[in-house]
Parts: sequence; structure tokens; C-alpha cells
Amino acid sequence: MVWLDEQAVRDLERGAAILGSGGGGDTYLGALVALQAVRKHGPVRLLAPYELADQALVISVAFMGSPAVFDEKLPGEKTLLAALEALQEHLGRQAEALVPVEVGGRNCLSAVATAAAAGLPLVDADGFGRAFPDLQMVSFGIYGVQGCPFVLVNEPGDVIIIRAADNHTLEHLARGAAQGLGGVAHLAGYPMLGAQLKETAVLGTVSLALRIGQHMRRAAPRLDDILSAINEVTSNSTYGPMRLLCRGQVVELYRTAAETESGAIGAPRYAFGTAQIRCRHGRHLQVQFQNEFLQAESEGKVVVSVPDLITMLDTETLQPLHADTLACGQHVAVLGIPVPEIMQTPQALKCVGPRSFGYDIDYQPLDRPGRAGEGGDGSGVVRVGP
Amino acid sequence: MTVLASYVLGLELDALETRSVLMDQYRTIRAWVTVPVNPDRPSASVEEAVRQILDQCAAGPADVLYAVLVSDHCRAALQERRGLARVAVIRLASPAGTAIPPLLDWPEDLQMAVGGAIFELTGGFELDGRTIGPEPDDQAVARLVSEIRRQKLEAAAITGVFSPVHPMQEIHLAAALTEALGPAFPLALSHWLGSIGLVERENGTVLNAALVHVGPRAAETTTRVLTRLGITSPVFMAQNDGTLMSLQVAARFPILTARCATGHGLRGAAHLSGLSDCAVLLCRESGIDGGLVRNDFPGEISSPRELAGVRVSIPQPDTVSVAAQISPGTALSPEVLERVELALDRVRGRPDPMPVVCAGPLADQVPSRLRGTTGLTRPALAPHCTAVGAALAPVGGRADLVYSLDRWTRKGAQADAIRRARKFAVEAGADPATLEVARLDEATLTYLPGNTLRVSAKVTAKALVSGKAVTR
Repeated sequence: MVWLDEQAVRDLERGAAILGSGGGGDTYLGALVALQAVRKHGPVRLLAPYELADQALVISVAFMGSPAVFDEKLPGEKTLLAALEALQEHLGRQAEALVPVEVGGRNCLSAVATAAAAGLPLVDADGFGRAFPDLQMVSFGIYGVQGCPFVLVNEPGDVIIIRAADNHTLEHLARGAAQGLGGVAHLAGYPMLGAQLKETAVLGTVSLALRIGQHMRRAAPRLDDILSAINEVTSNSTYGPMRLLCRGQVVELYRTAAETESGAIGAPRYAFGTAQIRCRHGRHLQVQFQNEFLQAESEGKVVVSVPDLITMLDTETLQPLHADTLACGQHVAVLGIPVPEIMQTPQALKCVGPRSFGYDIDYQPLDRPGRAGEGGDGSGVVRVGP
Repeated sequence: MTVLASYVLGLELDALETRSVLMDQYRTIRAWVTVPVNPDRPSASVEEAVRQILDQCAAGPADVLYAVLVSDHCRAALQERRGLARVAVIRLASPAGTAIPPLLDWPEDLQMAVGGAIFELTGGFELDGRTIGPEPDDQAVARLVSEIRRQKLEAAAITGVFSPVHPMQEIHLAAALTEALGPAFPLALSHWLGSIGLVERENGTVLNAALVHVGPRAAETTTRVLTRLGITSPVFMAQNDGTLMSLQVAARFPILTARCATGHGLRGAAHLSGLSDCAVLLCRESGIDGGLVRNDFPGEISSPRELAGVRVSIPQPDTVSVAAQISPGTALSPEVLERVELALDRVRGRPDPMPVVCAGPLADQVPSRLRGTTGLTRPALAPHCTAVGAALAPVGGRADLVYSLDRWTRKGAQADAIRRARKFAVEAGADPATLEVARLDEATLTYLPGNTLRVSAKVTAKALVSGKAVTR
């Protein structure tokens, strides 16, 4: 039986950041919320999917909206439970367990906090296997679970219950609702039975994030040791061997929001752009991002495509980098991690493949033999080292 | 024909020694001294250092144009949890914010040192200006004042949600506290001290309030000594970012001196080696700080970094620290050496080796053969690099604000931030005619309703002395 206590929260803080693929928000504040909740309410039971009863009601939880508003407004204690309670009241039924919408980034930690406050176990699974921007991209939804009824709440205690025709519409309505609620909202949605979760969730991801954090904590503070630690965990999981794509320096950064020179910027809401990295061996790597790092190309060939994960580590601080705070001149190590198979099916790719993000290419899985990356020999085994 | 000497007197104070330099109008160091500190009579070493240094140049009090003071006392006080004021930690956020109470992630001993008196009041703003909770009413304020008196708290730190955009609640509460507790009661308002990111801004504000007694101490000692010696020229305090500020401004913002020795040490070390771009290792008794100097400016960072075990977002020198006990005459252990080389790797960033300057009081302890260097310089005045850096430093001012682009244009926002930074610099003692924009950074805050731009401006200028521009 795995219990998520204070040390586990600290480890998840690191591991969830790696799975954030450049997005998901800064895990530090999420960890503080979880720490306070665990101190106050006790550790959280992490439930393996097989331990979940088929008829149990599971509700998924997360925050959505602006990370900057989250960083500033900070959640209220009552907010962690308000969405869950409103949804349970609406359904006329109590949840037996909770599951994170998103294991990548802050939402992994906030799910632990909600579970602690609710006194409920947290299922070892999530809806993305990483971080993603939109609600209809969750695996539960891809494989047929309805997101609605869906609840959003804010600190003053306003509650919005959404019933939408489909999950794409849900995302659209929820996005507007979160803005109206003040820029950030806590959500409870995708109510499902245990049997449905076992079929549709990305399984084992919370414990994976935990193991990544644990291994990183025990590793020496050297880039190669950290990379080995991450690879050791992903290689022995549903993800697969990590690839070191490139070590180098960010030499150009193009953000669509910053490009407009005129007085009023009609900027899109997200951190969209491209980073150009000059690798140590002289090659260049382009990484496209839309909040998360989505696609990496080198010498005109796609090296990693979404939904596979792209993580960037700052080689000076050994911390994962976010797309919205990436800066020119940073020294980085770019990693590719294959996403679990459940997100690679044709059905999944309709929602989370390259074309869902506007890239007109077919998905090319990272772990197919012949994929060239610095440190990879095509056998699927990554040699990590100078 | 006599040339009128005009010296800048640089003074570096730490627990063990007082170091001083005298710099002439050609930026040449004309004299340097080191005087050990008698802990029972700290002002004696300052007086001795100034006497000696003026003697060495046959200079008199009237030849000192201005003095700069780099003092380690704020950093030491935070590190040792000594002399800190007991602070009323006031947050205007409820019902938001309660999932992360103030001081949550603070080391326990630091929390105890500042008293741990937390007041989570209703208030705060949404980004668009609506309130999150009602502003505290007269009764709530009266209860707060009564508690401050009952617990004998010595200062207050006020942090409100979105105060960098909407500061009014912080200002109102400050006015109410001043009315009740008197104008001498120290207050720190978070919108003075940081941008979006409540926890880091609040932490910095609380630390600033906690330093309210410690901050002015070194300045008072030094001013007394200088006055006794007949030196009446202005005294400036060194700031973390490698610039200077007047004593009045320094008294309000002691946290901005918490890492001043490192910032100025970096610049001084580079200057002494004749390098505009280099890596620097500052070697002190408590360890080694590695940093970069580019274009004569020490690398600085405003994003969240740890200070005294707490995450803050005030400007700090961008350095990597190797904590270790270093003593004169004892070589560095292999383990410490390895950590220094790793630190140097991180400081350098890129794999190409670069020139490294070793400076600080214990520069001699670092061996010449280090991995990743094209050459290791130990300039003759290495122990005095910090005082040198401060003597060279300009006066600085900054502003870090968030603008809604529904009401501002991008150019307008930039101009406003620069205007405010210039205002700060002038208050800090800058000569307005020499103000220059040193840095202008922008970042869009993503996912926000409307378009929001964070603009951070830093200006530098020569010091204004007796209404005359300093010609150097």
C-alpha cells in the first residue's frame, strides 16, 4: 500500500515537473498546497487501478486557467473541496476515489491536496500521461467517457455546473467559465465508474512521477546522473527509454505573442513559439511549443512529435524548464520520452496528434528503430553520457 | 596648477574585517587597507581603516567626494537569525490563499525568529479590479492593531493579492496602521518589492520588515565615524544588483542589501583583472560564490531564488554557491574542489573554458589548476574586490510592474516603467542628467484575460553630490 506523505509530495514535485513537457505550471506552489493539506489531513492512499472496485465512483480533479493568476491568487482551502462537493450533490452520489486529470505539472500535486482534504484515496492514473492544454484531450474522454456533469468553482464560492453535448464543447464552455470565475478555477468532472477508469485512463502515472522524483533525489547533482535516473524509471514503465536529443544552447526564441510591434498587441492567450537550439555537435534542433513543447525537428526531419513528451532541463540548475519562461542563452538538455501506448492509438491521435495542434504531419513515435537522436543508436537503448 | 582630488571611499564591512579602498577620479585605486574587527568595538575598525587610507594618500576629509558602504550585516542577520524584528505578517486575500498559509515553507528557526504572527484578512483583488474579499473594516483593523500591541510586534509586512496592479488596499491598511501605531512603526508593502507571484513577493516583504532594525545599523556606525573624522560627504549603500542607493532609501529596503557584497565583488574582481567578461569565484570564510560578469555588469536575476532558506523574487546576483569552511593557509579538500569545478561549469554555461578571476579575502586558497578555465587570475587587490566594485558602482533604480494592454500600449507601458525607475534612482541619489536605461525586460503573462505585460526597467546614473555631477 502506497501512502503519499510529505516526502512523497516533495518527490512528486520533481517527477511531475519532468512529465510536464514544458507546461503544466510550476510544481512548487502545487507542492505547497499538497504539503499543507497532507500536514493537516494526513497522508493520501495511492490506489493501484486493480485495487479500485469496478462499481466505485471516481471523479477527476484539477485546476484550470491562468498559471499567473494561480501564482498570485493562491487557492483557498475550501476551494479544493467545493467543486467535488457540488458535483457529488448534483450526481446524488459520493465519490469513492479521485483521479488527477493531469499528472504533468502542478495538477498532479493539487490532486493530492484535494484527496487529502476529502479523505479519499487517489487512483494511480491520470488523463494525459503528461501535461496537455485542453479538457477533451483526456484519455477518459478519448475513449468514450463524458466529461459532464462538470463543475467549476472559485474562491468567493461561485459554482458553475456544465452539461455539454460533447467534450469539445465542454472545453470551450469551461475555458470561458474559468475566465469569468476570475482567471483560475478548481474543477471536478469526468465522473466515471472504476471499470471505465481501468479501460480509459493512462495507468500508473502518479507512481511513475513519484519514482522519477525519488530517483532524481538520490542521484548526484550532475546532468548525466540525473538523466540516468530519469531513464531508469521510464525504461521500466509503459513509457519507454528516454532519448537525449541534444545538449546545447538556446540561440533563437520566437514567440508569437511578442512579435507584434504595434502599440496594442492582439496576442493569443498561450505561450506559442519556436526555440532554436544549437547543439554541441554543431547541429540545430527546433522545438515548437504551444504552452507545452510539442515537436522537435533537426536537419529538416521531425525527431519527436506530440503526444510523445519533450522535456528540457536547464543544465546549470538541473531543473526542468517551462516553455513560457524559456530564454535565449540558456544551456539546455532536450529529452524525448515516449508516451504510453494508450495515447498513441488512431483514436487518441485524433485528439492529441500533431494535427490537433496545427502541425500537418503524421505522428512518428519516438521509440521506432531508426529514430536518430544524439546518444541513441536506434536500438531503443539510450546511451547517456558525454 | 593643483588638481583637485576627488576620491570615492569604498568601505566593506563584514564580521571579521573592515576593508577599504580609495579610488580617484580616473578610477584608479590609490590606497587599500584591511583592519581586523574588534567585535566589542566595531566602529573602531571603521575609524582606523578610514584614517589609514586617507593617510596613505595624504588626503583630507574634504577630498572625499562620497563614500560607499558594502555591508554583510543583513545577510548575516538572516543567515544567523539574529537581530530580526518580530513581524506582523498580514495577508489581504481571504477567502483565497488559505490553502497556502504565509510562511508555510519557511525553515522553522527563521519562522520563530520573525515571530510567526500571521494575520490572514479578507481582501485582495482579482486581476480586473473586483475585490476577492471585502477590504478589512474598522473593527478588523482595530483587532489587528490590538494584537500587534499585545504581542509587541515591531514591524508589519502587508501583502495583498494583485497589489502590483492594484496597490490601494495595501496603501489604505498602511495608513490605518500608521494612524494607530504612529509614523515610526515600520511597514513594508509588498507592491514595493516584487511582481506577480504572491508567495515569493510576500516572503521578500516579510524579510524586509524583519530587517528593519538591522538595516540601518551599519550605516549609522559608518556615518558617525565619518562625521567624527570631518567627512561630511554623502554615504551610499551598496545594493544587491551592483548599484548604489542613498541611506534613506536603504533604510526602507534593507532586503535589497542582503546580497550586496556578492554583486559588487563580481564587478570589482573583473575590473581588477582588466576583464569585461569573465567568470568570478568569490572566496570567503563561509564558502565560494561563482558568478559571471558580462560587459562589466554582474549577472543578476529577479526570478524566484532562495535567500536564507526562503524563496523570494527580489533582484539578486546570479551566482552558484559552494558552502564550505575555508581557512587561510589550508588547501581546499578534494571534495570542495570538485564542487567548485561543478559550480564553475554551471556558471560558465557553455562548454568552452573561459577566464576565471579568483577574488575575495581567501582567494589564495583556490588552486591555479581548475577545470574549465583558460587562465586563472588572482589580482593583487583580490581581497578588496568588493570595496572596489562598490566604488565603481553607479546609483540604480528599478521598477517592475504589470500593465493591462487594454489600457496601455506597449510603448506606453515601457515608458511608464522607465519613468518610475528613474524616479526611484533620483530618490536614491542619482544625478538626473546622467540617467541611462540599463535593462528593459518584458514578458507577457500567459493565459490571462485581456493582454497583460510585465515590464521591468532598471536605470543607472552617476551619483549626485552637492548638486554637482560626478565626473568619472
